[in-house]
Amino acid sequence: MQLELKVNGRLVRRDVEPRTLLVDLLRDELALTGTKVGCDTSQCGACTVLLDGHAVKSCNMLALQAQGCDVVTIEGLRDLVPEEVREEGLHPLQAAFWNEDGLQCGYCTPGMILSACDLLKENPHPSEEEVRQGIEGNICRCTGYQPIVFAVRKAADVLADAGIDPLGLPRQEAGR
Amino acid sequence: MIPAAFRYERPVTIHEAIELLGQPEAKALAGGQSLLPLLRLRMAEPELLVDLQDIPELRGMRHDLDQIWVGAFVRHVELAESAPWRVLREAAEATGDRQVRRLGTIGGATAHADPAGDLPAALLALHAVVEAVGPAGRREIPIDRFILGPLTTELAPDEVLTGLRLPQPKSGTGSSYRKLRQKASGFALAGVGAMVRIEAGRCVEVGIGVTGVGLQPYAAEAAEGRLVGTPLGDADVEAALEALLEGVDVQEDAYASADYRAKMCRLCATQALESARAEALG
Repeated sequence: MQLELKVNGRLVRRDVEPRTLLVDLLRDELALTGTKVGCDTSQCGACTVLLDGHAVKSCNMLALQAQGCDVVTIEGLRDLVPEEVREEGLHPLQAAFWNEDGLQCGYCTPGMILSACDLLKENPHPSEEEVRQGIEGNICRCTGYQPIVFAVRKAADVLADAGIDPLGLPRQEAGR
Repeated sequence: MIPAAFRYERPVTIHEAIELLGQPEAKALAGGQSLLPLLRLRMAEPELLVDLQDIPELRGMRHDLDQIWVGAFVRHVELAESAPWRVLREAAEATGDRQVRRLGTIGGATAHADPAGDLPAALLALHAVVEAVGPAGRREIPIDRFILGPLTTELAPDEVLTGLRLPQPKSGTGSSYRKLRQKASGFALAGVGAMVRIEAGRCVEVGIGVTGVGLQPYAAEAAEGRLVGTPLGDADVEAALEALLEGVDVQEDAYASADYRAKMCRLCATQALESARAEALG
């Protein structure tokens, strides 16, 4: 069936079988292999992408369900924020995970970052507890989560200083 | 890729959806957060998936005179933010995780009738009524008669669950949901939704919905009956909750023995009732 959607800002048209999952389209058709498949039972969150700005599990929806939607994967994340906010070309969340050692093997990282994106959009300054709740849909088997929590809170500060939310939209708020 | 192939349709009216669902082995798709895992595991192999997301009549919440109508396509995130009853907000917030709550819907969760689903417990506590439309027209089914067994409901294959009717919260009402999560899956090892209405210091109305414990979510009617007319004191609650599991085949698995489940269920019920009572007394 004909499918049309936006992926990382580009219009994509494909003829897909109904049983194609969104993650299959991203990885196999569009070669956006940053999005991972970790469990196939929708528990691990490694396949998390942004769908119309919200974190969803791309292994738990059909590509056709995303008809007309706007999808952002880890490959397109940095393009959401202005260049001057990037650190060595990375989105503040990516940079914070790098700087705080928020990963070891890195397999969960793309999903983790996109979930954190959703969290920080809703809650610009989450407490440690709120970060832990915010990433409950993402499993990491290496880090023990502590550096991930540090990284998310660090990114929150960077985004606040830049006056934007993680999707790059201006955010009005008093300084911390 | 889902192993078995199927066709996919996106009707824009309820009428079209009913016609499509009348085809052999057709299945309605809402948020897909329960159905997609079943498809991937080959536990469901429909020939046709009818995606209901383009039907505007399934969306939104409406306040009528003494009732609230919640559209089947209202998602968990929306419920968690703006459901008119706390028990429903708390049950929605306790469901799945952030990503699942973004796509999952109240209609989907109700029609799926998971034995450990959170929303059914809240809907049972509120004595919600399920609204369904099929070829023969519309019918309304009380939630306790809608859920027939594990993953089994009164909904016919060619019926669309269009929404749920809830009472309007009156003064003196309170409600709450408490749950013990299985650490890995997040599903309820035991979960209890409670709703109470208190007038002149006495409980005049009560609802208790239990999930995760038996083969299906159920209304604890015997316990409810014992609470009406009492001031909901500690001793009243303790006595009433002796009937919480009456006639229930308490399940046992690798995560919890039947005895532990029963104990945790009573604890969740005690906490949910206490929290509902506190809200009712403002």
